[in-house]
Amino acid sequence: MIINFTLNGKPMTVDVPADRRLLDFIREDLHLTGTKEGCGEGECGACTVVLDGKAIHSCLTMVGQIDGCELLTIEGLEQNGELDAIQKAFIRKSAIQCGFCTAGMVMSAKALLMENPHPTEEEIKKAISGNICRCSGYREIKEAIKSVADGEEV
Amino acid sequence: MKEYRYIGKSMSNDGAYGKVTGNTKYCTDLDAYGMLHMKCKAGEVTHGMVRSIDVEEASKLPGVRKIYTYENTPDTHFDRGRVSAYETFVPSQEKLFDRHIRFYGERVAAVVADTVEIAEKACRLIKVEYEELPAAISVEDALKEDAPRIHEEGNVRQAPAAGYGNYEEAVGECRFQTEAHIGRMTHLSMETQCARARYDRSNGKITIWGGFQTVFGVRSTVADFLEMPYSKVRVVKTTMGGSFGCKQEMVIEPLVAYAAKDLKADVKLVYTREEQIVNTMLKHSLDAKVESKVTKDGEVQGIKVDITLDSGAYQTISPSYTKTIGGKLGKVYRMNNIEFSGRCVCTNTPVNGSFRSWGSCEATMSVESHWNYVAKQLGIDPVEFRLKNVLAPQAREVMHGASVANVRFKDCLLQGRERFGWEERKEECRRKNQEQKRYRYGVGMALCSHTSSFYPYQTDVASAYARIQDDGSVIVHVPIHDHGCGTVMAMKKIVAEILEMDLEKVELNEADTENMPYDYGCYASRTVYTLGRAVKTCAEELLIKAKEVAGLKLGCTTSIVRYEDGEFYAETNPDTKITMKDVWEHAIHVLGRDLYNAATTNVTANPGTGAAHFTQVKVDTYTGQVEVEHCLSVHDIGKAINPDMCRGQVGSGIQQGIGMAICEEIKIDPRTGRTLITNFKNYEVANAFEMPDYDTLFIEEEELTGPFGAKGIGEVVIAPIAPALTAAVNDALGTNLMKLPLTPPVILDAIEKEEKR
Repeated sequence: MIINFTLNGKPMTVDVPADRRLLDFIREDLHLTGTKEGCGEGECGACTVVLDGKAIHSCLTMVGQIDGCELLTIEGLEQNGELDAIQKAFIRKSAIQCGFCTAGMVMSAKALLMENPHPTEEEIKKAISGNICRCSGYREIKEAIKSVADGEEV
Repeated sequence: MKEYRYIGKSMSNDGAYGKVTGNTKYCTDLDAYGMLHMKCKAGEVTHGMVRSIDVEEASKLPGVRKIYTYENTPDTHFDRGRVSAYETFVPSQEKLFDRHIRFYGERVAAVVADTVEIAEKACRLIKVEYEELPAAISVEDALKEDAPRIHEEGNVRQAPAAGYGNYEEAVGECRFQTEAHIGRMTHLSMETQCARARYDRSNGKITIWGGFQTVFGVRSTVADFLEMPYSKVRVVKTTMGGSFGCKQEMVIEPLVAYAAKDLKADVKLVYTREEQIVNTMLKHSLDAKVESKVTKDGEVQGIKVDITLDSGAYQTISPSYTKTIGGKLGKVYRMNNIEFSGRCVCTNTPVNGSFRSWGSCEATMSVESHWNYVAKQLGIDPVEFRLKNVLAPQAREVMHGASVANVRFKDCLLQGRERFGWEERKEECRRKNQEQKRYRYGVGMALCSHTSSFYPYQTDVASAYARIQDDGSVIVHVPIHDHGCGTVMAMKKIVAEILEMDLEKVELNEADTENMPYDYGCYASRTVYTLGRAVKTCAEELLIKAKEVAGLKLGCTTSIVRYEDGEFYAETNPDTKITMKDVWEHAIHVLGRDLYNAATTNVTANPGTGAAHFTQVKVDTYTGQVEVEHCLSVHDIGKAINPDMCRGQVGSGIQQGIGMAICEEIKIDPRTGRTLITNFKNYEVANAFEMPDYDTLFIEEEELTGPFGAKGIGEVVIAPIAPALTAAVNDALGTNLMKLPLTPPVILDAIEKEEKR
């Protein structure tokens, strides 16, 4: 199937089986390995990407579903050598340990902030409740997102 | 206290940029032209013999390179838990494949193919017929005299009896007995097991990549299995997506390396989440019986502990794990009489093995739940009870006869009690419980310690090697296995602190057998304490060498050379300064010598890191739900080199400990032996929404034998959580529950029983 979509701001046309998992397409065909597989069934959030402004599980999405859409992966956040505010916040607040959940966590946070730039603590918790982090108690992650919501500068 | 440049500063994690941009490569991200992919076929019998295995159709599938089964692989054993080449496991039971299948899901074949999809399809085409054997699914069944023999040598491995004094003769007016249980858990590292092995046709070498905890352990296991010289096998640690114990055993490496050598190819295997749960190892389920003798005013006279661990289908590391639990019994309290007995029992269920804290969770749950019960029976506050009995700093712990070093149990208890507001919260719970009936409130606490090294179990040696570069920057070779918790950052800080240079100028890669000195690996929370000391010594000695060269360059004796902010000068002439770059140039260009240093250190202590956990819960008597309202973890850490990373560790310990206490359990079907939970859908784990607010407190009384006063932190964080939470639930409900997890049905059942009484 020929599909047209925007990958991290750049238009793309590819010929790919429509039923290929979006996660495999991203990792194996596009060679963007920042998006991770943690469970393969939409429970851990490691494979989260942003599609048309919404956080989705790329392991439960088929490539055919992204035709005509804007796809944002972790690799697309840094612009002209400058990290996105949410990426900076994750570093500043020491919210990165093993890092395997980080891409998914950041993308869930990004989708939340795109839709709602000033979320409450409850909204933050809810937005990342589908992302498992086993290395922390989520505190640093929540603080990182909150700091962006509060407009805290570097 | 001295103001440090880097030590004790929160500076985020090493490699944070790579991780937050998706650029860091984990083993699963490694790819190369011509790489082959492996998939395993799971057996479909709980206990049985393979009668026939038909790979004909699967082999014909285009893209399939080879199929491995017990018929075409060596009949030799390997030890998945080996740390050093001189270790031999008794009993050694595992092979790549065995005709004898011992649990449902055990691998019976592996396919190597051009793509993952082809390998998966081929696995489905392999036809296996089994001859079923009677199975022993529970420990109780496996212990029976006429139980099916899962291994020739029998199902049970008794730990050597251990103890101190004589429990039977101990005198204490009050005697108590309790029983505790911990269920099986999965580590839930976000990254599943992955290994890549590449045979290099140009020189006959094999390189193995993975998120390992011991590159040298992997090397000796694999090289011995393949009958290759160790020098021809290189093992490289890749960035690890979490371990919590599951990456410390060689589960897939011998298989992947065997295929790579056999096919002279580059082969990668990534486990699915289901394989991660069923085919690596789970946390042991534990049954503990604890008995004690205590005086009326709460002084402990002796303790007797008997434990049984379910090893699963293979003993692997379980005998060692069982023994270690006994060894931990004297590390917290003054006790002159300890008696320990234990056994681990094979069952026809998935293998249980290494888990964060290696026995501290088991020892702490068993014993701390017991002391909470004892304190309640004697009418003594649990904090006060512990204050009467804890070891003082530098005391001798009787099970090993070694000092506990600067452990500060009393400080953990007193400062924790105050910060948590223990008395106030007790009162608050009492008041809330009087006001209404539906919700019951309670508080609980527990105390424990964990190691910082292997001492005195074995010589704990560590080495580091540092080279000054042409521009004055430094590369350090030290085999660090960072779990993501910040040990690389800690080592860099130690070097930068000693050499008074920019952190950016210190480069330090993770473990690689080919260009680094030997190390056991990341176990026993030893990295910062043991390797940190080697790194610190190495940097200090390097600085002495640099000062010698600086003296020659400055034309003065070494004794008057001073070093500050990366510059050398003679004390008598502070205006003439030279840099590390100048010193390197002088060394190479004028003196004809290189500027490097190698250091090997042996630790001669094993300081305990004390941990106290205080928690307050709300139990809904209608639903059986337990909610942690607030909790505090106190750690006597010596010195937090990365305070931010250490707090992250504490958070994860609380998360996993809560899971152990109230929701996480991998259940096995008692009739079929099949694993009932093989994914995250039914595995309850605290997410960001459910994770309670928690407080952390570090007591930084420096440990003189540790680098900058530091001790271990990585494992102790989980151990006190479950018993404290259990105590809080019991406080709320007036029960004496000790069998985890305390899920809603368990709570509701307990409430019903309580009401009937």
